[in-house]
Amino acid sequence: MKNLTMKGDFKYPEIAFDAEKGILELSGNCIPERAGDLFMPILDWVKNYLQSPREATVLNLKLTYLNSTSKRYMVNLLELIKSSQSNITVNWYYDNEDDDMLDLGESYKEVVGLPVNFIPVTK
Amino acid sequence: MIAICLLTCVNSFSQSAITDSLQNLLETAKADTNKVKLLNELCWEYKNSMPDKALKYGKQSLQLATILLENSTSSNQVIRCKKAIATCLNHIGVVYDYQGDYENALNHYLKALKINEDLNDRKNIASCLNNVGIIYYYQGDNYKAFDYYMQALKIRKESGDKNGIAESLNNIGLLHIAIGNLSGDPNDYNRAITCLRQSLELKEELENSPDEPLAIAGEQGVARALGNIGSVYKNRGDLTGDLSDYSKALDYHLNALKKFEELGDKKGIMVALYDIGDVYNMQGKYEKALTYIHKSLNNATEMGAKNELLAVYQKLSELYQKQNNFNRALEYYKSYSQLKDSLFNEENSKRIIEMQTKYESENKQKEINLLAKENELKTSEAGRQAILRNSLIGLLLLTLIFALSFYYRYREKNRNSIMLEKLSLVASRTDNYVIITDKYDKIEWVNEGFTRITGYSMQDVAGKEPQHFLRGELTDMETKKRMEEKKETKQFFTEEILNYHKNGNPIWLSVSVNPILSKNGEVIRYINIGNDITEQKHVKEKLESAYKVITKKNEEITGSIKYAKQIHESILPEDEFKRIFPNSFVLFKPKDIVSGDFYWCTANRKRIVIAACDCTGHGVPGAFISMIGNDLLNRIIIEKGIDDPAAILTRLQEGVHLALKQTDRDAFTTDGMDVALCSIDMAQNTINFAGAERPLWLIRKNTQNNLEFVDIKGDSNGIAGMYYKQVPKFTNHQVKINPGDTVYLSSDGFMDQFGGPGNEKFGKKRIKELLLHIWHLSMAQQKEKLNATIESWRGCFEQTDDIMMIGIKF
Repeated sequence: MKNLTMKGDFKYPEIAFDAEKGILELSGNCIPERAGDLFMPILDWVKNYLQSPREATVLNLKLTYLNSTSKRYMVNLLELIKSSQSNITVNWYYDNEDDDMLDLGESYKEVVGLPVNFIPVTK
Repeated sequence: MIAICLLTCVNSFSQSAITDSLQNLLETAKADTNKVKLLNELCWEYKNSMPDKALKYGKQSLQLATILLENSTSSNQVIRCKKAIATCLNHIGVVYDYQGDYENALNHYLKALKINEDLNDRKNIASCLNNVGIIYYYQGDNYKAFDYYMQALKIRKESGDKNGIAESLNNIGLLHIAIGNLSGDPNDYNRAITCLRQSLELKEELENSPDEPLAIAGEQGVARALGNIGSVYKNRGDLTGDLSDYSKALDYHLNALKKFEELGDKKGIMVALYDIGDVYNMQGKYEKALTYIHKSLNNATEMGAKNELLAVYQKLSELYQKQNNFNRALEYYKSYSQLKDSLFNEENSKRIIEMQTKYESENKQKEINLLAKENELKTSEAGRQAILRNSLIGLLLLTLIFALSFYYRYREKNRNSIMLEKLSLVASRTDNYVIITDKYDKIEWVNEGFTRITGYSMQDVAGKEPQHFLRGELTDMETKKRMEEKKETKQFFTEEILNYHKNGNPIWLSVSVNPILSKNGEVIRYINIGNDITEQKHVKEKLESAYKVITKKNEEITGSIKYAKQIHESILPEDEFKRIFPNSFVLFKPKDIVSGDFYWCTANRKRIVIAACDCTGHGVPGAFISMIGNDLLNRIIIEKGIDDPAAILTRLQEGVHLALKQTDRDAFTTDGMDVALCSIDMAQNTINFAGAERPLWLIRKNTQNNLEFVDIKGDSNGIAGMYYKQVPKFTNHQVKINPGDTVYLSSDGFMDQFGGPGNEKFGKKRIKELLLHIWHLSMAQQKEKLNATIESWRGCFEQTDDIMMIGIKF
């Protein structure tokens, strides 16, 4: 299947979903006016990917900010991951000075009930 | 024009021998060093007139000298041959130099330099260094040029070579002029003057030398130095505007002229005449300037010096223009542009011939054909340039027409009909249209542009008034009236008007009307110039109508949103809140007109319930959700009397699901809200708090009398959206409150605001610090401080989300 990639900017994250390697990476801000336009293609791609995933998949989330609608879509994404029975590692990268992002990651872990690795990053 | 004279050096002064006799000698010469010398001299003699021949002789000489060197038996012979080779290389370098082939010139000079260094021939080393410097000078590499000139000067000073020193100083002076022209620093010109004066003094000393060639070199040098110094003063005057520099320049150039005349140096005379004229031009003495430039013209014509002629023509055109003699200005401008074209073509053909000889020996006919084709293309390119130039002439003369109309009005001079004819001739070349009418506005003449634009020929319209046939039913009456009124004022004016083509099509014209006045101020003619702006008009109209539609739509939309804002604001219990909590503030900053944030409160005798809600989205969609939330809170708390915070949130969750029909368990829906909800028991002084992704912050003094920031995080799930899949799980937290404790409830807009030096989030850490910092202030002051802080944080960035911050002091 085709890789999903998008260059990021201030309002949109960089998307680098590599089906071949099984590495899915999202990094940057999510502040779209219509979060669905950003997340629906992501969710569709992941659904598709989960039909025949690699033996091991890594989801790297290196997000710096999500607006409230994006936060909710992120739950959808994580639930999709959780519902799949395949071997997926979720890495949550956060700026070690940014408690808000650590809190957000932790709340996802709790709400979705998915194992998440928290990886602090020093600026 | 070459107003400066560089001194290229050769190792021997040119003999006045005639080339013919040299050639005669050559025929009988044996293949020895004498023949080499002969060939060298021929090369030198032909360097100006027949560079190809000069090169041929130079190369023959080089070949012969090389053979002789190989067969040399004595060291004397070797030295003689090497000297001859160095001379020859230098000569060939000069020929290339004069041809503008600097790469080859440099190559040969450097080879000559090497040999002279081997021979330790100081004089010729200096000559070569000087010549290399000149090439760098031509190529604009001033630093390298300076370096080589200085090396040459050093050697010449060591060996006491007066003439050499003078020539080095001359060249260094010229280099300073070039640097000054680039830097615009008058000090560079001052340096140039110092060098050139020294050069002049030395050359003056040489004039009286008993050695005839040296004396001649002295005289020539004096003339050149005088001219060069004159040029520096002229340049410095141009730069600084100091008029006394022009008088000095004039003195020097006049002296240079005298000297060149004594020497019978025609080229020098021509250059000096031009320079004198140019200085007079700068002094505003145009009559004198014209006299000298015309003399220079005669010389240049006589000598066939085309490049100089070009400059002369240009200067004459400029001068006549300044004198308002447009006929002659045009005449010389034409000569200028014709000559420029022909020089361009000549240059091209020359290049082709060069290439042909280069390739002929290899018999590469293909390449020649290719080059010929290229030439054809270039010639047509030259044709295009000629057209461009012609239209430029047209434009220039149109400007002159304007100038003329003013000229006549103010100088009250009579215009003659020949002039009009001439101008018409010029006007016929432009793309614009030109109409000349008499005082009754009857057409006397129109140009080709007019026919092109309107379809009417001269025969069609002669004697008619333009307005009688150009205008039509859609021509704006107001514009017509305005034009008539403006004509009455006898002043130049412009208008845009809708006219009609001969075929009936409407055309938009931009028209400028120039009344020509007689001595006593009566209009005797009008010159109307215009161009077709139909296309621009159409585009403009389309844009304007689109703009109108957009503006109207925007007004409608904004209007309806503004009205919605009034309704939306009515749900905010502003007065109720103030009544319940007199010591409080609400900072409410929607991102757009309406907001997705809202707060809600109610109070009975026992309890106060307050909710701070942040609906997903912002603007209109956010406001819709907030209306639903507000309605649900009313029903749950007021109608059903539920006051347990966790229970309220659970009911709210169910209510939003129902209201937004979020019942399809597979659908992705995200609409919902985050809520911070407090139920306050005034009798017990307790707050019961539950949060859906929103916290409660409390600042109080603890038992040690230290400030304490209590952060009660709500539960990790928000209300509705995809959270419906979870069993709602909201937790009550109980907090005891004392007088002076301050509670803060907020949406995430404040801490999510991007800005600051790194365009980053404001963040919870900064909010915490800020609140602790302002906690002691009055609630009104806190609100002001919070607002000022977030505004300055935001700076020029847009507001990220709706902002709401509520503070309550107990």
